[in-house]
Amino acid sequence: MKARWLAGLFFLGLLALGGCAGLAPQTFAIKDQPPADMPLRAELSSIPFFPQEDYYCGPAALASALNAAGARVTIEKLIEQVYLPGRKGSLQSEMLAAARRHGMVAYVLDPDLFQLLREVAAGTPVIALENYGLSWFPLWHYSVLVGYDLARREAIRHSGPKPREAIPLGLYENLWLREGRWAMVVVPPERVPATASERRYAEAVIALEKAGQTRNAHVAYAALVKRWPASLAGLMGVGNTAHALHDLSTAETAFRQAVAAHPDSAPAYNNLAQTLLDRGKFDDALMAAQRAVALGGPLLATARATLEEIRRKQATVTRAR
Amino acid sequence: MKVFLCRLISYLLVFSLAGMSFTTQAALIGTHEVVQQASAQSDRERVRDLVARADVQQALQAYGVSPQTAQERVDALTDMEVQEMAGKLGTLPAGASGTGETILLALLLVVVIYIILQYVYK
Repeated sequence: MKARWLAGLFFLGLLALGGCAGLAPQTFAIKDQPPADMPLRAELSSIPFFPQEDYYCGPAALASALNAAGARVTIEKLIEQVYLPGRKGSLQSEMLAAARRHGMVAYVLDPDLFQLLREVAAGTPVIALENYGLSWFPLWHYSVLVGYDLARREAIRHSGPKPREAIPLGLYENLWLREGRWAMVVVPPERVPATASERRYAEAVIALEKAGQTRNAHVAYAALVKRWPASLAGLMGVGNTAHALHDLSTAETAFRQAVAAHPDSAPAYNNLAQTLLDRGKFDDALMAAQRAVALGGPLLATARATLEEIRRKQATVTRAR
Repeated sequence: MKVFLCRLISYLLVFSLAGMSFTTQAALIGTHEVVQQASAQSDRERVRDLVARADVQQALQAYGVSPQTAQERVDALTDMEVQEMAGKLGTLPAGASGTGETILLALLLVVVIYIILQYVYK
């Protein structure tokens, strides 16, 4: 109760310093009419709360989000992975990287308040970077959004020592927009965030793959393809990760789908050729490789090398007969 | 520190040069190359990335992270994240606190500024 009064007072203080609408433009915009395409309220009651000790809001927020996504992680482990002692806090990129290390897709949301709320409505808590201070005297903080109520114009979040703290939505928006409107979600690989775009989700899965999480990335690429069936990145990702996991049959299927959907993609033909070669299907491999070379493009050298290798292998097999 | 960094960079350069054959290898084209529509990453870009990673790893250590942990943390960052962080560990936002005292402090600041503004505009 006290916190709400304090927060309200703080907000009034902000209002006194400058105009009204500019402080929380999106909240102000729905003052008379909430958006029609989303539920009026939502609350995620099962998001675990990890009380935060001094300076550890990053690990605490991540612990909530990661455990909610299904990863059993302790705050202690996350402190080691994300806390920067010399800065007494956690950097945004390291928050994303730490989520990846636990096999989850870390996705940065669009800088739009309602996209944050939509994620909550879809069941995903949102970690937001807030600034309690001023641009020249910042006081950064991570909180976990677990609910909202558009009729009462409230945001409900886990923050610091307080679970499910309700604050005015305008205040939440203001604290969040001060540091570039940055917010992230953590999702298990089989789920695509509700507000995700194809390109940026593909980038998030690629980041997961590059962090060495091949199996989880494979699942995430499959989810990508399920949501965007013609996605070249998705199909290539499924194929590449399957290949890395020595599942050549799945890899071949994925690359065949890729060339069917993208007949002018030299990389897709190249990777199909390589996979067919690995499966001993030399004639098909040769055809695919020749197609890749014919299509040209910036990765022509690789396609040529693949073609050469197929020819070499074919010659070896012929000689052996 | 500087000696260590220079040595690290030399090792990395040697390894990357040794790894680069003079002919391109047959290989699977990576998913990231499709998304970024990249030209095959030039050797210079590859070295630049390696140097940036070494730089960020060093910086993490300077800010109190153990060498082993720093390595693991950098390995999970994307190339773009590493580029954004290089040289900026001291100034990037670091989410830290959220206790009631912080709110009070911020509130106090607001009140103080308001009072100052009142005087300025009198």
